[in-house]
Amino acid sequence: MNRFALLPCLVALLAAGCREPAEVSVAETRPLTMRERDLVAGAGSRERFEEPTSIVPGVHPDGWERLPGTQFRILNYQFGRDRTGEVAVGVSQGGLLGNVNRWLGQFGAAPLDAAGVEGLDQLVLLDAPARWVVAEGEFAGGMGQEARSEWGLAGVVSDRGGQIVTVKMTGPADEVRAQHGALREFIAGLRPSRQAGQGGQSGQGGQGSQGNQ
Amino acid sequence: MSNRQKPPANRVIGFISGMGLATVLILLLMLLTWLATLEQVAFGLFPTLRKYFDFRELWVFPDAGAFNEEWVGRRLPPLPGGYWVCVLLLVNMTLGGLIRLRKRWRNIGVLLAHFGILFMIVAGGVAQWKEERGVMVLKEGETADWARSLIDPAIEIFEFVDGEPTGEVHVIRSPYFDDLKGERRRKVDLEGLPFAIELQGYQANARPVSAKSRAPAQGQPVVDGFFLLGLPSETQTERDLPGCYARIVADGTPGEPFILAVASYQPMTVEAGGRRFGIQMVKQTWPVPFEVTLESTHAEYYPNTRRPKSFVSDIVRREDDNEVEVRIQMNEPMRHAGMTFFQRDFNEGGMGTGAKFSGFEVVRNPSDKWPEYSLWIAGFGLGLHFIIKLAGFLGSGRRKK
Amino acid sequence: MNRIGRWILVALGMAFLLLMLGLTLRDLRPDSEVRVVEGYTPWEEATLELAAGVPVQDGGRVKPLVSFASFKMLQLHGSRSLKVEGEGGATVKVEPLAWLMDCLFRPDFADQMPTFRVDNSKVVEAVGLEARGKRDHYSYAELRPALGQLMELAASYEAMVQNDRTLEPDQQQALDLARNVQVYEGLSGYLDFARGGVVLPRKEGIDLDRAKVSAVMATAPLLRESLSRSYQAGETPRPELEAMVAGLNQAVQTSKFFLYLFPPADGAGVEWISAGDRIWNVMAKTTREPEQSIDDIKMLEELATALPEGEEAFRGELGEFRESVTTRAGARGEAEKVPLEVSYYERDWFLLALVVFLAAIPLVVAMWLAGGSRFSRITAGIVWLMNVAGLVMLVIPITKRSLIMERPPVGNLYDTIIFIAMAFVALALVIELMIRRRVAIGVAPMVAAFLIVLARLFEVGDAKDHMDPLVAVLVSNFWLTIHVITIVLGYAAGLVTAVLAIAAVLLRSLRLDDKSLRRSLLRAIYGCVCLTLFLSLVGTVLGGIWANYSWGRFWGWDPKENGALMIVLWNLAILHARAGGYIRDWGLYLASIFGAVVIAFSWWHVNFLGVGLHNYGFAADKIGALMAFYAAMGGFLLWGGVAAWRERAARS
Repeated sequence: MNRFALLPCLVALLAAGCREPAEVSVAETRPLTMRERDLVAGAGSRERFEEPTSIVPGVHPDGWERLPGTQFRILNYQFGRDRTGEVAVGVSQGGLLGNVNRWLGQFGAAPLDAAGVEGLDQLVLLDAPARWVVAEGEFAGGMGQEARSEWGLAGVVSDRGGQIVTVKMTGPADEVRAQHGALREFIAGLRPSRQAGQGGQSGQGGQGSQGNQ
Repeated sequence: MSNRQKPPANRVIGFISGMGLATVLILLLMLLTWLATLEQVAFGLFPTLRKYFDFRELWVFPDAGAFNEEWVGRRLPPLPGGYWVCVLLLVNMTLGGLIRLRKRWRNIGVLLAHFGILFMIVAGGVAQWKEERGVMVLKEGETADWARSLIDPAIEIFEFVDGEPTGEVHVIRSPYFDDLKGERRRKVDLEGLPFAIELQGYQANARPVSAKSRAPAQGQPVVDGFFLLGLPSETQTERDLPGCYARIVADGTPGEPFILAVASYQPMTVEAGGRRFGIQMVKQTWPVPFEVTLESTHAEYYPNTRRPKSFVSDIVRREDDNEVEVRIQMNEPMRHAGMTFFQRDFNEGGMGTGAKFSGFEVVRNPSDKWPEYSLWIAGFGLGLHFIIKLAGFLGSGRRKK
Repeated sequence: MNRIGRWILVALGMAFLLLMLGLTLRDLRPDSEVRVVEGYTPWEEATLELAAGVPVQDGGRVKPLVSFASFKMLQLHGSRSLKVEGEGGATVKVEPLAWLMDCLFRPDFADQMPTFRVDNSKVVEAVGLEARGKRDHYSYAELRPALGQLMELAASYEAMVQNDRTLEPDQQQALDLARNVQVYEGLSGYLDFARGGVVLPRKEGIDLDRAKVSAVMATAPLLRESLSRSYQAGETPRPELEAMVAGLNQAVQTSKFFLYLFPPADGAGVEWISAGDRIWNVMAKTTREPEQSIDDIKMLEELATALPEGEEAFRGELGEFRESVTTRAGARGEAEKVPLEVSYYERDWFLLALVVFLAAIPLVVAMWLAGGSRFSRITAGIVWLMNVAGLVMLVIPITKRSLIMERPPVGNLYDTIIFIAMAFVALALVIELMIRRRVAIGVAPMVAAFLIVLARLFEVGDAKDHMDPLVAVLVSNFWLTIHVITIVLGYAAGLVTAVLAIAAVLLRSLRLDDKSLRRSLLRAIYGCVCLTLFLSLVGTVLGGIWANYSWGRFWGWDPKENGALMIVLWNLAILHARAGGYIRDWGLYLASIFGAVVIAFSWWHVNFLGVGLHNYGFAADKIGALMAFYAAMGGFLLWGGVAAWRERAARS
């Protein structure tokens, strides 16, 4: 139970010098704590290694690499030749119209009115209607992002009774265009988590995104 | 003094207990301290300490990056490792400063000082082996009965009975696997469990990555769709999340490999002897023999500034149906059941969440008070010696007049 | 040889004196050229005296206005005075309090003063202005045309900082300048509301086009009611109501920060309240004392508008204001230390001590030159007295600071410098008492003068009020106090050791000593090594005990801790090498001089590393001074090495 138990083993390891032993025996145990309380048996790799989030992906498009989530990104991916393409699933504020026009504004496109938004393609995101937004051109940047040219955006904004959920893909224009199909599939596959809202780490907060740290 | 006529054994002992060796060792220690101080700027504290003062290092090659950022990576001539310098100093001091020192009244101060320092080094050694240190981070309203190490990973194994973790947790500490870089592998037999575990490919900082999202560039094995992507170590070692590959060996037959990583959310489940077990790599768990609930936490600031005056946490300590409310704040730790809880950090949560977190450093160290005792002894000895010398000096001055 | 040696010593002493004098004068002289400020008249002494003691809350404590002014001016101007050519071509030296009073009450004058120090002309050129010297001062009026561009630049640098990017030195300076301009605008615009009031739309039959802010505040309940009535009815409020609200908002914005003038109501916390918040709280109904708030604003209005009637009238209002705030602060037990602090700044004891020590240096040289003559005995007596007087002049302000801060005398880097100066002189006097060789009392004034100058330069460079309270981890307790003081005494003892060793090297190499002096000095140096070891060891371990008690770790390998350990180890090495016969006289001298290098590393160098708990956040450009110190010690080491080699060569 304490480090002295370890001492002989370490000495043994040391004594073996450079040819570390190929086999050792360990007898140390400790009692169960609350840390193990919420662990489940039979978890697959995805459940083990992907952050449990309030929205879970049903589809994993090829070439998308999942990154740890952040405060504003429930799901976070990167893709593309130089890994400059990004996909983010987030919860936002400011209404459907406001969000659509914010996106368009980043590319210098003219804002839409309510009727214009009605005219956008409609998809389904988490059982609610969502509007498909596409833009291309000079990306103005802002909020810590660099300005880029020949940039593309594709994604949806949905208003679920006041709560705005967005799925936004940005990246080099040609790469974004090539991913439209994958993105639509990805959006269709998104579903709410069974244990929505629960952080990653059982027992102790503040460490969710860091796994078993 | 004529060393040449003495037998060789005496000359060796004379050397080992001699002032010359003492001086050289002290200077070496000073040099190592100086270099370690400069080097931690570029390389971080923990890796630097590991390099300079760990018992596994007989030699250290100081890095020229200590003096100039542009020189990082250039090795300087080697010096002996700090741990072994201390060990030699201990031997030298015991022989020369205690055993062979002439026992005269004039020397009593020096004798005491040597004894005090000796005691202090021993206390440091005991602390290094016996001390348990972890952190407990709680959100307001949360409860925990465990802390975790900031740095050391461990592999933990427990049984699932009816889907619930049950019984005791078997612990494999990091020294058993943190040397298994590359192809090196080791079989760890676990007393009382129907299988052994074979470990391989340890990485000090790694993330399991889906092979669908990125092809393993270095030929890392892909298991169940994932592989372990190695990342460069962080300057702050506590941010490193280690990982390795593993497989169980039951009845002499090895099973399928799997990934163990601190950056994971659920344990690997394996079956052996008709029982199910969970295996996971975590930052080592330190069980706390009571439950701690964070009731509330806040920071106090000096008026009209953002300069913190104190961080305060109100907790409830629960143990055998006995509840005690305790306030922990900076410079006012909670000491209970051989453990001490120190206010470590405070986090007001980010924008939007509003949640408040409090972090405690949890320490169990049986030699906690030893340095203090050693100080009294050494300080008293030095003071005494100084006064004896001073009295002699003043006395001689008077006689001369 | 002997005579030449003497004159070399004199030359060294005088060179040192000149260096210190030069630094002192540079520090005392205004930093900028004289600027013409049309029609400027100096404040009357009585007005400044009255203003000095107005309590304000700043940096987490209640302090007199004169302290506030002093550090704000240091922060913006880089020194504690400037010169302007005012009415009738008279040159006026403007000191911090006068400068602040101009900012607050005569902003038109203040705008023309060379307030802003710019260290790198690139910054000024980057915002499209014509730069003067590489390092120069600019007035607000001069900067005004370029402020838009400066603020835009600063915003982009701030964004870079937020993205964890490090700024280039000139980018950092541009950011600092922008922040300083904001401070200045906050101060010079603070009383705009009191002078201007709220502008009302002209209305027939009413020739009142301005209302006092306090008068509008008094109508707050009515104002709130009629506004909400208009909103409920879906009407636009009447234009004069809207004007009032807009005017009040403007007043709140310009006087919300930088000066927290009013103690809060009983039970309303510990944060003092700015004029802007006073106004806002009345309008938003979030104060426990609306009447007092309105009275406070009225006082400020009367004060701000009294100046045209003459300073006598102004003083009347100022006295009333000061009395009112002091009484309320006193009831909270918060203004008791203000008079003491005013007196601390009124009489600059450190400067007096510096003058005494500097004046002692020529006498020291004379004393040494005169050998054993009667003249020498008399000068020695005077040097003794001056040392004691200087020591007292150090003890007084250090004690005062301690009383004002309500904490032990050593809590930050500035504290350590003056405390070490004091400890050095005290220790030197004790050593002199024991060996009576006129060496210790001779070196004491030099080192003390050096340290006082260092403290002054550090204060100017740091531009922070070092009496402000400490951050959480350093909040005092018994062990911390003992730890810090012991460590700092250890530094002082180590410096005494090194300086005695330097003296011994010079005397011996120039053949100015005799056997008995040599023996006394050697024993004193040896004793000082022991004392340094004792203090450093005890101090270091006490630090460990405190850290263990407070944070749960005895030793954290923090650079400052390591530095202290290095001092312990160096002195241990000296003692063991000497006990083992590996070093003799010269070895002890040289090792002791190197001890000063080790101390400088621990005391100063670790602060530049930018890591660790004891890190004070240091500007990296100041490291040159430290390198100069290392070089000086290296010079003495070289000198001593050569002398030792020659002595050995001569003997064999």
